Amino acid sequence: MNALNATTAETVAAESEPATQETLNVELFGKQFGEQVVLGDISLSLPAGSFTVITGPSGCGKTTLIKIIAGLDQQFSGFTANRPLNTGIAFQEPRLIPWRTVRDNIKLVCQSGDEVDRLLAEMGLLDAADRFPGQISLGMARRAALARAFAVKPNLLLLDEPLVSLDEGNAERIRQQLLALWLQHGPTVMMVTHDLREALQLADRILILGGTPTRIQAQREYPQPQYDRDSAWIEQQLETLKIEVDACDSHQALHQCNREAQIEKA
Amino acid sequence: MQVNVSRSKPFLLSMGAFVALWWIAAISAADPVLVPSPWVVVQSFWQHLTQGELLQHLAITLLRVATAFIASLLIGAATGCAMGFSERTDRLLDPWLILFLNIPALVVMILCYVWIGLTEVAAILAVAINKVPNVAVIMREGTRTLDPNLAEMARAYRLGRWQRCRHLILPQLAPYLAASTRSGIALIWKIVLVVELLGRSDGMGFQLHLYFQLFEISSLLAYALAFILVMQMVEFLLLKPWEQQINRWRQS
Repeated sequence: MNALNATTAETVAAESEPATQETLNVELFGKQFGEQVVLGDISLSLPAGSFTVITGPSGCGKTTLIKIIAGLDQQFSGFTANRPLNTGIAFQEPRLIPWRTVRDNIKLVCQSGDEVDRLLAEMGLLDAADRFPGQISLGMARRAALARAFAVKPNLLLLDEPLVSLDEGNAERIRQQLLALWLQHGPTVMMVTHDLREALQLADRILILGGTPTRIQAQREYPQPQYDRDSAWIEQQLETLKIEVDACDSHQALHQCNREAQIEKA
Repeated sequence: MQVNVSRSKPFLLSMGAFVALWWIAAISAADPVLVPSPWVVVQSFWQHLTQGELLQHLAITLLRVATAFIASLLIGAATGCAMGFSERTDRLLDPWLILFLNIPALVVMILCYVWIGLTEVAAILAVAINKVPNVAVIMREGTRTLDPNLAEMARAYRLGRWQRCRHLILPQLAPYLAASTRSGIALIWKIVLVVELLGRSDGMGFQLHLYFQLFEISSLLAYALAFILVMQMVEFLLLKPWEQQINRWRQS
């Protein structure tokens, strides 16, 4: 943890040996795109089996953070430790292979055919199983991408706004499936969303990102078990959470404006 | 393969127009030996097919085309992909590529025959050297258009090398492979004939040269007809179905 002081550290992307049942640690000193410092000091620990939701303004680097945690972006200063090997990830776009059918897309990451059929049925995709991703709706493609993320039986599940542009009925069904999967297999989940109700429904902990460069502005824990949360509880929590998010927003609104102007110039 | 009547109509019409034009030219020509009519050519073709050595020469030429084509496709694709994947290799090999792209085919043939001798190896090598740079250029472009998002997905899901090749890279390169194949066969056919004309004593090129010296234009055209027929068969029986197969996912 002392390493946090080393803000001027050169790019070190060290990784220790993966272990499944340990806390995943991410110590980020900074992440730059060219001259632009996108992420500042961010210290995260994701206990095994926890469900963390990140929220924050658009373009603040949430996707970048997800990629760093996934090990897909190694050009940063800092390190990650105890990242499990089998990671399920749902990107912001579905990223299905266009020339493989929905079934083959899922089969590619999961060898058992029965498992694929079960997931397809759960996601309501059986009818679309033999179609190509270009022939199904975006909502279906998102569900297929989630089915693929589930299919690897992940120890770490990274979800980057996976339910955007789904209609509420489908979104709710998938949230329930996500919860069921999480309760059953207990992967460590990290999810990005702008939907605070969704965050409250699912999260153990909500992190609010913001600032320039982006840091964790606030953090709230929700020990209440997920299946005990009803809409009354969610509405009640929403009040305080909204105030907190708004506070972070106004605090950084000016910075954000400046930064966007800079990005546009670049 | 289905033959769609309404779609084959324009094809038949334009083919008919071509034959008609040819016939008019043959009738109005001063010397029927120089411009034989389509019917004379068909008769000559039939005669060469049933009594002559057309099939034998056609087979030899086809074998040369296939060998040179496969060799140049393999070498060209490997070179092109290496150049597309690694910028360093690209910079190293680019001057060579430009050099070989611009050497006249005839020079390569003559040099191969002079240095290696009038052998089969020299003939096929000469053809392959002419084609490799073309394939390499097309495949390099193909490699550069590989989708980085899908590559990232493959990394996230720890897909193995073979899985990436089979499900991600090859399908993305398939249109470029198809383009190389089509332009490759068309080019190689033509070069093989010249190679045969210059230094072989069998094959279509040799026969064409022979009929040129004998001034037998109808036989010359009959051989050309055989040629075109085989090319069309390759197109309709191999290339088209293959392209349809690889583009199946595009039809929504």
